[in-house]
Amino acid sequence: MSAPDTRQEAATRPGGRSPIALLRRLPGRDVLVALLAILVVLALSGSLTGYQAYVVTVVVIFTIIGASHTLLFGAAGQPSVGHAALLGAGVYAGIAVSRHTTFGMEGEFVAAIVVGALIGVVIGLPSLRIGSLYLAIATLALCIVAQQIFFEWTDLTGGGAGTQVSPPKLFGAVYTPLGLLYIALVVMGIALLFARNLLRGRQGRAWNAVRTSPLAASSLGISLGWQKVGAFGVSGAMVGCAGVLYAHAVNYVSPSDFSLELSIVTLVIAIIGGQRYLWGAALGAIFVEGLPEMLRTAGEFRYVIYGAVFVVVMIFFPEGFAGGIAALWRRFGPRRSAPPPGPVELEPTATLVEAELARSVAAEPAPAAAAERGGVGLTVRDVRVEFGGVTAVDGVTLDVAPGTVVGLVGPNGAGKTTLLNAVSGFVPVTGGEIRVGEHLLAPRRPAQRRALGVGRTFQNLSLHEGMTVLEHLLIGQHAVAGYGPVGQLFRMPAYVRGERLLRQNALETAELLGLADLVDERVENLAYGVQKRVDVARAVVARPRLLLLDEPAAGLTPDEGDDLVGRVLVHSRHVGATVVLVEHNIELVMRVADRVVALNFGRVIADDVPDVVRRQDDFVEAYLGG
Amino acid sequence: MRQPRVGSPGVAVSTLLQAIVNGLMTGSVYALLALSIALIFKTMDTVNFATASMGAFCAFLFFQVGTVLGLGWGAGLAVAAAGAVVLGWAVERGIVRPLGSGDLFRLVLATMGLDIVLNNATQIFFGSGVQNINAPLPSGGLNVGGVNVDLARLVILGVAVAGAVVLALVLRYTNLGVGMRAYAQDPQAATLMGVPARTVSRWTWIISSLLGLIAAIMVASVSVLSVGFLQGTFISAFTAAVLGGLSSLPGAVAGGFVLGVLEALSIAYAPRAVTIALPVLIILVVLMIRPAGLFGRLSATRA
Repeated sequence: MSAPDTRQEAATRPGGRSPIALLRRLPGRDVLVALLAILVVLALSGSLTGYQAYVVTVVVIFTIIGASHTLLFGAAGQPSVGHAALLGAGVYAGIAVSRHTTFGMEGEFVAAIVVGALIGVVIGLPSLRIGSLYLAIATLALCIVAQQIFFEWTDLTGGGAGTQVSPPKLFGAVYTPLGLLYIALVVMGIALLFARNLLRGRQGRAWNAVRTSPLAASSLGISLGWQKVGAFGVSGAMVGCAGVLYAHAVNYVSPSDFSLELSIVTLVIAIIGGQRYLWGAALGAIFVEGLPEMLRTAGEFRYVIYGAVFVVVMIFFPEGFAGGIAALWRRFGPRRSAPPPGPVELEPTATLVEAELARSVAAEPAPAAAAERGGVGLTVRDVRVEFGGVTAVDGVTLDVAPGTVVGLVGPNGAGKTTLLNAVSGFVPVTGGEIRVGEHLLAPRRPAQRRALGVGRTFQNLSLHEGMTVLEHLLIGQHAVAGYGPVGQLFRMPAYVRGERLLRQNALETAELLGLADLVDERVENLAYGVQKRVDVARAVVARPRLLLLDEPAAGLTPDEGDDLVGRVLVHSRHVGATVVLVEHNIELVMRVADRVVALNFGRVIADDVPDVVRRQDDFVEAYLGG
Repeated sequence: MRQPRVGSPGVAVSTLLQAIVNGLMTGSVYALLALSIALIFKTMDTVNFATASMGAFCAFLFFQVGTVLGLGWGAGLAVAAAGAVVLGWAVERGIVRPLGSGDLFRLVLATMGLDIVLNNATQIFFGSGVQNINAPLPSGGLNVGGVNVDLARLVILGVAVAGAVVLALVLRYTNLGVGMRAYAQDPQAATLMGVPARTVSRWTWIISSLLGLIAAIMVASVSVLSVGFLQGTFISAFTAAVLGGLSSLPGAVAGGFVLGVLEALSIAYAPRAVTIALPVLIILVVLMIRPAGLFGRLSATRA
């Protein structure tokens, strides 16, 4: 999921002519490996007994279900303990089709996918309101309800007695258990291919962003609700699909099959296999569904063994089997480059910054020209933000002309960040109004404000752990990607073209902010100053028309701070963006801002050009203590 | 005395009262098990999904020693309590501490794994039969103003209330209890103030395990003992804890009684499907409308 694109790698890292390096340059090598694995199973399948074919089929079915958790839990971070309900939905949708129509599995799959996706969305609805632990509880509750419904719906399910499933029929031909295995392998191949396509590119990045930093994700125009519910829908469709296979594999289904335990088992498969890796689902399914069958000699102890192994894996391999193998591969496998382990430091490029600072002091702002190039003004009228009895922002009015840089300063607790959060939509405004250009912000959710061109950085860094610098720059362009989930699912030309442009733009921005050498580094390996750069780069990469910088220089050395702010302002002046700069380094602000607005106790105490504000009495008093 | 006509105000009132009394009695068991769940959640920020199987395992110990080996109730209780202490300690030492406090969801899953292990271990050790523990509880009932009060359930109500009171006293007046409350509010600050985090964690699990044992014996004494017999009660108790806000102990007790009464009312007045789905409906409604429950506070990390 976080594997850098092969072409990208080849482009930035020449050299490496070993067979493995060549293999790595092949597009879609993961698909080849998966196909190879499926072929091996096919080759061996000829010698399987009926029972063995059944066991392998079950493993394949649970691989699909495990992979649905890879999307939902591994990527989007939404734990579901309701997957038994989804499986049941798929099973009974399929049974209904085979009973009431003349269609075989071709019709059953369609019905099961639709029903599974719908039920998935229903199960996912609570995720709009609640966090992961409560969500697990809600899905658990829904799982129990669904099972009760299955028990009561005796016409379809046979109630407690269960019901017989018709033999597998596809396009008129009836299949043996071995034939069903072949069908299951094909379905799994398609499901995993689609899942992998979704995980690569905009959709997968959005899910990962929602999981790792919801706040940052929504500031980038990623709608948390849609992403979560969408992931539930996709997951439900996959499980529905698996349900049809399951019904035919076991022949006889009873509502008691779709218990809470089954839900937990499916989640265990994903986690024990490694929920961040699609192939981990296969490992998990082999362990959970295959191994107990092989361990039949262990008798009734086998569930104790596998429960115990699960607990042990949770403790020692938090990323599951696949995570463990991937870590070993990173450690002992062939090196893709000489990676700089540990923190990477940056040298500030003083010349560039000095040039910008000199320019910004000398140059007159040209709002009209800026508006043409895309800057948009910010109008704040009498805005109040109250938390309980505390008034953080107390009737602030200010105007930021398009294309200008406005410094927002004030002591701690003056309400600077709260004001930015009000513009971003992270805190509710209790009075007054905020406009971006002509548009009133009030009714819009945080993610919708990105469409107006609002972008922001975060004072305390809100990065996506486990993702590379390049991926951050790609996530930053979520709202302007130029293709949608469908294009991505089928790898249509729009996707290929879009991804190429996104990468190109990402690399340009990386260059601009001095991150070009670090694009393939995971952010958690970077020094604080560099992480700060990444946070800023993610905000500017999609060229926001109004950029809110929340203390970009905080925690940096003066040189680093000058460098970062200088680079951003070079960029934003180049594209004509409007900038609101919240910063404690007062000298820096005075040098780069066109106007300075000073806040104290939530009120504006000064609003003028830097040189005037600098001499104003109450500003000096508030800021420098008189 | 003339029988009141069906549908007359007298019958309606006594049916209602009867339902409420029944509900309070059932609710007392929910309250006790909900306390076990809420105590863990309040202090450790996690839900122990092995609550039921831990309690059930110890209830089997109680039955094995007390009835099968014929050593009597006292010996059975002593062994079961010892078992609950050891189990609570082992879970804390073997699973909770190694997993750390970083990822609470991982811990939730680990308790689910533990649940599988314990349920199957129970079956292996004690068989899958259905046992009657023949509790020495008074039989029959009192008739108070047309409402029948089952004596056995009245005793259970008393035990549950006593358990809750003892827990409250421990939390309020002992060093350990004060440490636990401080730790629950702010683990870091409490640790810095000298509250021994490991001791708090260990005793939280041990006390929770003991509460589970009491609830398990109470349920078994009015129904039967079998593998997984406590799962249904666990779902209800869990609902009660969610209703009370998961992190609030008074909330858990109140939630238990409220749920018990609601269940009894739905048995008396609503179709069966409503009764079956009641806990789940309550969970969903509470989570959607007021995730903090009746008494809880919602921390930013869980919201």
